[in-house]
Amino acid sequence: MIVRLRHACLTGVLLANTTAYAGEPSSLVPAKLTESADVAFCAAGPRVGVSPLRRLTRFEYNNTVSDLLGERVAGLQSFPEEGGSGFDNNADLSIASRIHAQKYLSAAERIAAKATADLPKLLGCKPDGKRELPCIRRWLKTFGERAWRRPLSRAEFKTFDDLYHNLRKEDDPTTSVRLILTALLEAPRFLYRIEESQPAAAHELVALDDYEVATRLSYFLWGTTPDTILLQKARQGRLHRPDDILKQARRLMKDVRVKIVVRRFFDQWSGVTLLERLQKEQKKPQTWKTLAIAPLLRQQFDRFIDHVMWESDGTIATLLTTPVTFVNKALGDYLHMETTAEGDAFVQTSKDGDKRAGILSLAGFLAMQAKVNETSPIKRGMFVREQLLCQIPPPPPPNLMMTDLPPPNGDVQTVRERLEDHRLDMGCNKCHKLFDPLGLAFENFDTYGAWRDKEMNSPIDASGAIVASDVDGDFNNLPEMAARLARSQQVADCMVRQWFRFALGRTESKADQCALAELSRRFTRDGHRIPKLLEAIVTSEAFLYRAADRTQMAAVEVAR
Amino acid sequence: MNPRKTPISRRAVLRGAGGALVALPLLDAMWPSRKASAAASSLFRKRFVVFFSGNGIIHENWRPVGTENDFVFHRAGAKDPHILSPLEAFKRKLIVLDGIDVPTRKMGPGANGHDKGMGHMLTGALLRVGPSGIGDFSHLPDGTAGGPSIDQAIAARLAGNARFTSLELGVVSALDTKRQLTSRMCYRDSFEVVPPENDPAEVFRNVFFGLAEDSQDAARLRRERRSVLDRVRDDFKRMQGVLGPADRRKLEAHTTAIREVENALEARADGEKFPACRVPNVPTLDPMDEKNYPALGKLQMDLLALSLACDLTPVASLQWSTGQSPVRFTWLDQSESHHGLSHKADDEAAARSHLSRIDHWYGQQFSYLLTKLDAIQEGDATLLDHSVVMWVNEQGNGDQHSEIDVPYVLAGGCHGAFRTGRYLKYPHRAANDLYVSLMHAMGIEDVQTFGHAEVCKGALPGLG
Repeated sequence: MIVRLRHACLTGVLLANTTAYAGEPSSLVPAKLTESADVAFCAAGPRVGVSPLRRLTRFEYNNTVSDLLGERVAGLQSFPEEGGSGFDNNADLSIASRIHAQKYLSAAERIAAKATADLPKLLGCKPDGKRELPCIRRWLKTFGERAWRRPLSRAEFKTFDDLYHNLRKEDDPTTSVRLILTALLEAPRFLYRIEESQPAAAHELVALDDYEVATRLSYFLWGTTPDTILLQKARQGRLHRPDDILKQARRLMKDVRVKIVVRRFFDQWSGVTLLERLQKEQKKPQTWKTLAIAPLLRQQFDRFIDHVMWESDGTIATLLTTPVTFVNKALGDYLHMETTAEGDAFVQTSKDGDKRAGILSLAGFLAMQAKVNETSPIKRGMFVREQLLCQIPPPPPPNLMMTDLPPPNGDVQTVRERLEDHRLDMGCNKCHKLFDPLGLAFENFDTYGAWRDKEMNSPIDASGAIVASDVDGDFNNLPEMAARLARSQQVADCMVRQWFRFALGRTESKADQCALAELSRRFTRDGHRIPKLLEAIVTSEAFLYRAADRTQMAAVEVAR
Repeated sequence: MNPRKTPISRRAVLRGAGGALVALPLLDAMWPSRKASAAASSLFRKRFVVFFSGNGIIHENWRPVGTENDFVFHRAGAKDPHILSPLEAFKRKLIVLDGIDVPTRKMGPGANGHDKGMGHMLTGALLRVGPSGIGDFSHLPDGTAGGPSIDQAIAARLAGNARFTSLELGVVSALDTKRQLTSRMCYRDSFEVVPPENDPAEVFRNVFFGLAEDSQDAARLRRERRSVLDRVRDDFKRMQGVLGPADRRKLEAHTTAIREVENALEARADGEKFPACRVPNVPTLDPMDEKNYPALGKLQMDLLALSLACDLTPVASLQWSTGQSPVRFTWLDQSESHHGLSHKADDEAAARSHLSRIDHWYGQQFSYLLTKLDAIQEGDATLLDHSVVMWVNEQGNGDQHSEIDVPYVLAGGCHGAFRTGRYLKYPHRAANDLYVSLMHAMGIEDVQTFGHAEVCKGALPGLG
């Protein structure tokens, strides 16, 4: 039977059939990372989950190509978008289809054609007469190492050298180099981040070699291929000791490229990735125009993240509670903010800061976590629950129709009033108390992300309570809720998990508990400063080792 | 084969990436020639085409009125156009299927109506949860469908006797980055999504590559691609050896994909058997701009029809937008998104009217595709007669995300396998059974179940 509910949610009977969750919030509080790790398990040596093979994301591919061959070369366009869990670099869903293969081919052709337009410039020498072969070979060796992020093996070098000879029977040097370049950019060693160092017998873990570390470092912190310094360090075998790695990580973190990567993390984590496609109902002509507003909200978001991470102390507390925001004239007008901003430049302001709570009051985030025509306490509350507290509330029963809230009617006018049934009905409230109150804390911000004191002429009530967390208790408004979250160990642990997923392109598994516990400890010691967390990640076991594939290990055993 | 015999005009020559591409009106060049093929009808293969539009249907404006053999696409007193009325001319070539459900949606993991709608629609299999479990709005953020979709299952069985195993085309079918399941409908298998190509210019470049006039340029490009892909395929094979099974599977999938790209290089048209195979010019349109939705759709249908006319593949699909389609039909003077409207359908007459007009518009597009396919003579019948084209939706009632009474329309008799011109009502039969019938019709007769076997009762009766 289909249960369809507009006003009431549903009865407890249905829930009892569908989930083991009995409505006791404390049962949903996860153990601290530092306490959940099995001491004996972790003491037995490094542990790390299986890392699936990673294919370059569109972002990484485009950066890589432009670093290898120069800005003038365009990379992938209209390429299938990555999909997956939270972050676009999740390796579990990166299986290539024919469309991928086609686009890689045509992109490589386009790139190679442009790059070989000035052949001596690409090669760094003139492939004339007797100098042709030495010139080509030198380029193949150096460029091959950069493109494949490790030196070509003797056999690999030979196949390309042979290919050049074959091509030269019919083609000129430019064409031959163009086709070699096309093949290099189509190769698995270019498109995939292959880690293949073999495990020693009986060991379940493999320490990554120096080139593999260089690649992980560079793609994590810069979203691109290792630069000449990283490759040089790898060549010298100076990228496996934690202090050497840390030194390089700190160098990378001084560059603007890390800013872009960190913005991407927060962009995907907070759900503003699709801001430029966001549509809103247009009540008044000035309310929402995606093309005009979205870029401003994007700039505000980026400016804010840069500020918190690199100009401020980079702590979770600042991220969630700072009164600081950034506006220019147009955005200030749109958000009805009094500002001193004139023109296009964004200025920093703390005016009316007691209304704000860091990233949680950024208009782009608030507009994304809302419906086209009104706020969505459920979306916003779920964000806090899932992205900040790393809890997944039990699913709604399958025979429940999820529909929009009932329209305003009689005494029931505001969004809070229209959600009242979630609170009054026992069956509903079991789950909805986990997120409705958290989302209602944002009610001072309308669907467009602008401040409001009233809804339907009623003053906004943004008070509520957090349950099922380590910071349970009441709050009167968003800043108070944010202040609670900012001192939560659960939130800090969640941040560790999220960065772990982003850095490694995978979801954590049981074997990662030791690394996660260690990261959590260090994060606390570092005062929850996120830039420090990045440093901790690149020197953690999970970053420097990979689990050997059992089948692969068996094959190695047999070979021995 | 002597290339001179291919009926391809000089101006149709492929000019490579970003080459001179011309404006829309030229597309009349794509209308197939009326010259009938000399080959006998029986020499032409069967084709299977999926046509997807989403967000459910307004049943009262979709259901035919009348009996199995005598029905009209008109409801007395209706204010809105009947959704199927654009198909009036094809009535004798249709089977309208009423009472088909997707019962698997009530089973297995996941609870989001759009995840389940898309993930179950063509697979009839239970979803699989990914490593992250269940996410916001009960989506399975990295979950996947439970098995192959019907188009891919048929394609896999027919593989090897056409240049492409299958072709997937999309119209502004953008992937919601956090919701793969909601966006995609074609799966080679669990975790193996087959995304559609949204850009007609890319379809043209990659699918029709080998059919363009065999100029020196094309011959050169073909030779070059062969040498590159040979090299690359070897690299992939070698790499598979150093990786574990899960990673190896990824490289294998990539190797397969490369082989299909290589096959495309060899595509040639048999101009005598397929006189309708004429390679078009394709204009450049931003494939992700919603304003271009109607124009892009028309181009994709032209290319789809052409790929069948050129006998490049036995299986194709056209995906309009995605599940939970956010498209705003501004060209129908609407400003609200399709998905937004669908959730007002049960309460607001105005929303029902808008939705009926949206699906009436999709009916016109379906009609356009059928017109194309029916204009291609193959022996004494048409390409449409040799095909079965299935119009499918991820919901029954869009407002309720219901899995019952999902609207299915079949067009074309699939070489006489189906008796068309009928309106068939079933007492809640599973789409799985329809898919078994489709496989039988396509000549794959050794299957008795499809997807989740528990809901299967055998092929649908009464289709033949």
